[in-house]
Amino acid sequence: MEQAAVDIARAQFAITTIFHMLWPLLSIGLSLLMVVMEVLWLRTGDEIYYRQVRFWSVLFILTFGIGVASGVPLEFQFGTNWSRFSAASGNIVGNLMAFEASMSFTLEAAFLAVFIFGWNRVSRQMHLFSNIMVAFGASLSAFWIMAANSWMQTPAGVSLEGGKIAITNYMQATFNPDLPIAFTHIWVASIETTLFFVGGICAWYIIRNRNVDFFLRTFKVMVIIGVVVAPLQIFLGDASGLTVIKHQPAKAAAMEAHWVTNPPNTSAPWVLVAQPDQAEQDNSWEVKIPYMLSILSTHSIKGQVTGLKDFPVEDQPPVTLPFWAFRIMVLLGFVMLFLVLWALWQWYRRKLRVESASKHGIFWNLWLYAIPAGFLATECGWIVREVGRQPWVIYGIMRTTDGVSPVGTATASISLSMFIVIYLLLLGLFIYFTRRILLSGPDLTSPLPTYRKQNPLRSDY
Amino acid sequence: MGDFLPLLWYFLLVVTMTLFIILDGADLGIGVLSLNAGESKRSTMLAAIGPMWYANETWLVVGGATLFGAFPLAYGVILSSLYIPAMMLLFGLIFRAVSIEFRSHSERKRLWGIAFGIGCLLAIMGQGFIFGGLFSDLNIRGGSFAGGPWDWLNLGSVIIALGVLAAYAMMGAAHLVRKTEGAVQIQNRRLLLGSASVALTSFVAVIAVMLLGYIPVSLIWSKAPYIYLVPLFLLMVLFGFIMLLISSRGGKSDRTPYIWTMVIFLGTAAATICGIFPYFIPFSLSIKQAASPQSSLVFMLFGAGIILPIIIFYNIYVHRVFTGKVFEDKA
Repeated sequence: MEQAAVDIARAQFAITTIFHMLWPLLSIGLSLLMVVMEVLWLRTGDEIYYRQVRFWSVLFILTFGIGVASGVPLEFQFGTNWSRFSAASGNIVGNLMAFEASMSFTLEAAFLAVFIFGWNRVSRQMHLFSNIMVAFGASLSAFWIMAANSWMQTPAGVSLEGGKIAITNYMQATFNPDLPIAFTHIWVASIETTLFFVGGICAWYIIRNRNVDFFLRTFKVMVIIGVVVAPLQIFLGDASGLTVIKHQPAKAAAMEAHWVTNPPNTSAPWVLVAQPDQAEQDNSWEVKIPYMLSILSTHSIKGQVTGLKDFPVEDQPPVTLPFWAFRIMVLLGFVMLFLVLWALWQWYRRKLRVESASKHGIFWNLWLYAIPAGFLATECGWIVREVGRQPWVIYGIMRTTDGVSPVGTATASISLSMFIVIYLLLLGLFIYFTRRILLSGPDLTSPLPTYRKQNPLRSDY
Repeated sequence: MGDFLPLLWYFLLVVTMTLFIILDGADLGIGVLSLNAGESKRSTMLAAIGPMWYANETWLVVGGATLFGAFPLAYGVILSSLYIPAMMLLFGLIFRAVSIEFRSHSERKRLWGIAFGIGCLLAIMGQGFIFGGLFSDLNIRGGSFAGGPWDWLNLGSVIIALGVLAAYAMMGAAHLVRKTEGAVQIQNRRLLLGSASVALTSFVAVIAVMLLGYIPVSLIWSKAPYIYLVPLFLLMVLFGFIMLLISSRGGKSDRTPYIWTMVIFLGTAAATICGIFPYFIPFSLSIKQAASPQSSLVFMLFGAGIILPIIIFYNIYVHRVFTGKVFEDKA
């Protein structure tokens, strides 16, 4: 395949994924938040929690809608633009995608109908159950997608017979070495991303002195979750890095712009910032911290870390993008931890009170501007993951250039431009309508749900 | 076992796609019909598909993923050779989904209502051309598409796509007759008659151009043993049309027209499948050739195959929750 065709297909998949990912990240987190609020509503009977479910569900439905709209093309792009990859790997990647569609997406969509429109049509237990199924479906969806993607990173349970990929062990292929940490890392990322999205919205209202009581409640729930999630995510990131070092050493070296393997009994320095130069196989300039890479990568002072030069040039991933994306992600991870700890401190000092909350301008403004933090961090992590896997589409087995469809470059560039225009439009409209929803604020007056006593399956209509 | 599993998966795929077409086909058809309706009628029409269209669209995703997992070769070949209709379908579905969402939050209801209708139209035409494209003698060499980007466009596929459009509009009108009352229902009884007539005309036209040889790959060239069943199913379709016209004229029952549209669809689908069996893409890729290896089909059966009855069960439950005429309960 000519290089241009490969580049267009890659650009299209990358751009559609980067856009699409924004919404499921949020819908996974929001669906869990809605479960928490509905449980609180049913247990305490406190009306404010019912209003919380309804308010956040408006944003959830918008998010879910755009998530589905932007996500369906992704599933079909494997066939339209990566038909050779699909034909070769359909017997595992396709299976896992089928599990995703049939076990999780259907569950989420069907019970979402009951959740949205069923307040007065089903019993309270059934409504909560539907809410839980929506959340469970959303998270399970992420699990299967990550199973498919992590198999492409660490293809296990496979043998090559005459150039054809044969799956020898489906359990090993599904639960491949990368899956546990990859899924956990992205699942926690959705929670953390949503946490900062919701927290930022709370800050927006509190700064404007609107519905302060309502949003302080949400904010406190966010702080409690954040105290667990923000440090956990840094720990998971470290564990994820160790998996990469073990299974994809070239990616690990590219992430750190680490070119030369340190000789035994010496330490590898950590490149803090640098300008990597792939042609020269070196960094044009760099700022290094001695010992640090050995400590980070092997958790010992004199650990040996493989350099990128140990791999033939044609097997090396690009360096600059993974290197910088990785640094942005890590930095944001620590910024988010800091913001959560600060919020905890404010709470401890009794500053999260209705009467005085809006006084602390800098604190709330930082939370407000941190709305994109989780999204940005996750996108950067995804770029590290996918660009770092290059030049392979299935790591070590199939090169990206061998996976593309025989679709003409003209046709593909038109679809690529249309995707860019439409997805930009979707993002713009999402922000526009989210703003509108926020401006109109939570509904505090509509009647409470009536629910339904008997089982609707035995109903009379 | 060697032949059984690909056939079983082919059957499951047919079930999934059938569910998609009868459930979401009506939703998409309503979208097209709504282009011609005023704003207040459009609200009622949208309410009629409101709770269920997400769940209905999932059947397409399940079907696509089943195709990918069980018939990876066909998945790659169909989508890459019918790239442009596939993109029409995908962009159409994007427009449909977001327009409904944005319409509920916007004051410019008319604008988003029209975007919704156009999205539905695009999605239907994409499906029609994918279906028509499969009969366009696609140039498949060595398990990969070797033709041009416009190979799917010909007289036969245009007539087929128009027929699909009319059929979806017919299903949409029948669904509205079932779900609504008053002005919308009266209008759609008329539209049901109109769209059914167009669908019947295109149905006859497809058979005519097929007999005249304008469809590059025609059922009449099939050597399949099941070809003899085709006339039987064609009669079923004709019977369905007659009954539909009678039942929508009488206007006694709101439900029967919907059932006859299903009979028409099932007859058409069965006739097509019998005509091309055992081929997946007529007549260049067989079901067996397109299938994943045995082990993969078994693995999928443990997961997706077992879950299918469960999905059908809870979908029936959810549909039951929302039976009855539409009343606006705004979420």
